[in-house]
Amino acid sequence: MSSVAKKITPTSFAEAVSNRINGHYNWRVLIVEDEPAIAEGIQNIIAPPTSVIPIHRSSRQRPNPANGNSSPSAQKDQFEVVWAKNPTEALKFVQDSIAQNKPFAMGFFDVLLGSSIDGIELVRQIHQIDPRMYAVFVTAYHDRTVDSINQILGPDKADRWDYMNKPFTDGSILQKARNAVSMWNLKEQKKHQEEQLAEAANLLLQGERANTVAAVGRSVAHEFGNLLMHIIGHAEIALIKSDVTTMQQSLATILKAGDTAASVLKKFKKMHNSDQSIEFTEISINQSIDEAVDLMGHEFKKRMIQVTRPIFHKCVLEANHHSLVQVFMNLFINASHAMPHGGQIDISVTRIMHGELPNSGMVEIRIRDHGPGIPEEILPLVLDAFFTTKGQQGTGLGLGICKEIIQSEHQGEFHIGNHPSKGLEIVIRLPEKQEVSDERS
Amino acid sequence: MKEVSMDRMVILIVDDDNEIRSIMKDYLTIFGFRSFIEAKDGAEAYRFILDSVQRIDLIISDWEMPRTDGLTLLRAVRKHPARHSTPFIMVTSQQSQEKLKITHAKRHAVDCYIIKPFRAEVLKEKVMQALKLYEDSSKVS
Repeated sequence: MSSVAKKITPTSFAEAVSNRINGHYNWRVLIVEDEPAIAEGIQNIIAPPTSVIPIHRSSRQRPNPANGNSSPSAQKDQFEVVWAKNPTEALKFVQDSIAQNKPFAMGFFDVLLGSSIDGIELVRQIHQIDPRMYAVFVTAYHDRTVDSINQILGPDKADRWDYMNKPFTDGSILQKARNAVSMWNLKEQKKHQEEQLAEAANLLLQGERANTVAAVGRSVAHEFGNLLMHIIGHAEIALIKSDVTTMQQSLATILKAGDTAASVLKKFKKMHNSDQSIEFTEISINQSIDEAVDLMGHEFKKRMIQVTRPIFHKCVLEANHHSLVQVFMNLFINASHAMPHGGQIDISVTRIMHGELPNSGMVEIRIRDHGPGIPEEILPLVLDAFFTTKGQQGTGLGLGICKEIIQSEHQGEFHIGNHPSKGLEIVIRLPEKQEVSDERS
Repeated sequence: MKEVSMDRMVILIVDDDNEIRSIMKDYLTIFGFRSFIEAKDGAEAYRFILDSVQRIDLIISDWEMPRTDGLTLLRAVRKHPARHSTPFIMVTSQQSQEKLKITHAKRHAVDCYIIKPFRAEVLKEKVMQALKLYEDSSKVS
């Protein structure tokens, strides 16, 4: 397969995630408190000291478990505490933490800071610098309702803060710290995993595209080998024989080979450029199908697959030719994989009326293979992204892309089902006219 | 081998492309060969293999053909009691899996392989090599 696909093996993915967890678990806690005794108290609870209480930036890990420290659960905590005396200091610490890429997971905020702004306003300002930070408000007064805090911080931060009333117990402080830190880390992990997943999906999509291109590439290479042989062979033979008749015949063959090569190349280029902007023009669906069949010619020949066109009405519609060629190629590749020992693909094109309106004409394309079909129980799953019955051979994106192109790009219908007698049948219905007021750019 | 003169040797040419078979025949005629039998795929070629009266001194076969490909033909020839040592030249077109294919073919004792497109000189060299006719090659021009 392509080298792109190799980048996202499950092992490397899992490794990345576990590194994230083990290597970058964020234990950093900010305490904003104008009363040194309270700050010290909180610090002592979540990061019990072995020596002096640190001020400002000092950070300290938990003592080694070998030192004979208390409960087993406490040994797991590795809180790193920073104390800020006032809002100005707190904002500076947060700014620094972002600059140094060492953000705080959470903070304890005294509400009344004896300063121009209170703890809640401080958190609002902090969230402008670091929107991820969790806040726990510590207050002696029931002066603020949950709703009023929510209004100040905004509803999108509703799950990023908590509060506790003085006097608090040691246990409640420790648990608030643990929960907030763990929430911060879980959210980060989730975000990271989502990014990885999006990247993986993107790579798979590229891979699928590369697969289609590779299939065509192989067929082009084979054809070119033969065409070059025609050219070189005839040129050489003409040179050796040197009689006029042979030369004329050879030159004619050479020209023909050159023309064929040029048209093969043109087709290949077109298919390569197909991801450029989607243009809708009046096209003949029959031509799109024929081109896809042509591009698959080598594959079909190799796999002994015959293509029949039982009904092949000439139909013109507004569509993107290259997208449709890609759809048909994907379907043909699937069909040929379903018939490894040869078989037949039947393609029908008919014009149908969809409703009573005169402009509601649709073109129906049926593509049926003579393979084993798909078991009824998994049929509903086949259009899901990443679903594949082909193991390593497939990425499970082929049909998904086809459906996307037909339904979203062309506002058509895409149906898949087993043919009553044998094989799988794909039914595509495309409107003859695309609606003008759509959102395509 | 050397006792048989080139003009009496029979070469089986297998390729699904008519033009290529004809070019191959032209080349071989220029080299001094006279008798050819042609097949457009492995299955058709195999009928000649099974025909015990048919003389075959050399097989030149394309790899990629519909129905029965070149490798299948090669395997069948190597298994045939009377034909197993018939010189076999495999022809392929330039593709990414060329190396893999050559390794495959070697495992099944192909005598030579040629990559399309090729020049007369290369074909001649390979044919002579396969027929062990080096000494005679000076006669052909």
